[in-house]
Amino acid sequence: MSEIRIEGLNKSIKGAVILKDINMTLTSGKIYGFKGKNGSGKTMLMRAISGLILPDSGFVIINGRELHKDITFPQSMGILIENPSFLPQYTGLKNLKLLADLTDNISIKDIRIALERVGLDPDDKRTYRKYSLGMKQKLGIANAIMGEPDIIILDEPINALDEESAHNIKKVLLEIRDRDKLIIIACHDKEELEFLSDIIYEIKDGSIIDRKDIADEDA
Amino acid sequence: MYLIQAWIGTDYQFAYNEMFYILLPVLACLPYGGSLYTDIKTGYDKNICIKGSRLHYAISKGIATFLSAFFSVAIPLGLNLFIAAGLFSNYSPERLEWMNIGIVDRNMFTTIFISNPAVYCLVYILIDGLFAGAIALTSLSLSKVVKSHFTAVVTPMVLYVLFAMFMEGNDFGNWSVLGMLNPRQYVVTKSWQMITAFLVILFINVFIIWVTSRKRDVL
Repeated sequence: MSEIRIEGLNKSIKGAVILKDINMTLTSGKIYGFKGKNGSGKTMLMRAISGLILPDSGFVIINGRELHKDITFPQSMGILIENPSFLPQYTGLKNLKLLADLTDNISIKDIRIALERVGLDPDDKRTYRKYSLGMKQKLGIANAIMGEPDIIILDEPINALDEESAHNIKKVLLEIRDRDKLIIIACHDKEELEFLSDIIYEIKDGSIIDRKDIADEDA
Repeated sequence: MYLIQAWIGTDYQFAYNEMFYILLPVLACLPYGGSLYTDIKTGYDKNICIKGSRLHYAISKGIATFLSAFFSVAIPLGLNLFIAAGLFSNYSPERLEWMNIGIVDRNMFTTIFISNPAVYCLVYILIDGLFAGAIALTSLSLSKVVKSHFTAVVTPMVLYVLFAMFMEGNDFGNWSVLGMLNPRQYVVTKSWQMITAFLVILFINVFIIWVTSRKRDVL
């Protein structure tokens, strides 16, 4: 059971307010959708949750431990924020293996499973630089889900994917959620976001302006 | 012709010696000095910072940069010495020859130079390799402020050349880092000055890398 608690989070970069008094609690077994226009603060909030940016004030508490105080990075998290980035001279499998080696709990079998789930061939000998845009995106998602971390953050995960691949990724995310994982996604497509999410937060100018419980609405 | 005349480190007849020592910082930074800049620019650092502490990442980068710089300077010097040793004898040079090279009684390692010139060359290969490692860290410490990979690799050379010009032009030539690396010892440096210079470069770079890595936003 994972829980992310955000209390009074504020962040400014070069004088511009990026995040303004964010308060929310996210729990496992749900997909949370972040909705908002470009530059509204969705990606920055994702960065703050994953510990990539340091808040000016406020806290991000993951499973009772405060980020940047009790822990320097989240203990079990996979992310795809903005464009996927890997070493161009290596294959997808090798790239994921290098990153998995940073932790002790992801085996080569986990990596192969993650690649297959997103529709990539683990034995593909092509290097990352020869991947198409869609393949790069799939590798980014595979990186985020390999070893099934407790928290998965995906920024525009189905961008650049064809219809079949997008459908497959959505299916994979719902399966992972059902295994009691916490997933956060940002997506421009309102329909896709509502299809995937249990709860949607709308963000505008760095503040949360609305919270919509999709499960309640469906009922 | 003696070995000591043929080796690039002590060659005084052609411009190769000067060229090599001016370009030494570039040679040192070329293999790995710009890698942190590339990681930041492409977003690859996000993959690392989500799975480990920023400080460990910076330490790993620092060690890899130091070692690659050491070998990228020591290997060409060593190879050149190896080839020169296959063609020329390791005779002790005449006193006149010392002066042509630039070595006088008050220089460092003069006893070794007279008794076994090849060992003298090896001592300087070690010194140059160590300084190359420390100089390459300058490239890492500049990674957050430079605007291109090229600048990250070339800026240390510009800084060290300007520093050498300033020191040598103001009667502080014995503190010129580029001067003290040259086995011809055209600047008369004491060993304590050499050790101090090495430690200062190392300390400044490690401090900047430590401060900027510990508390920085990964965007």
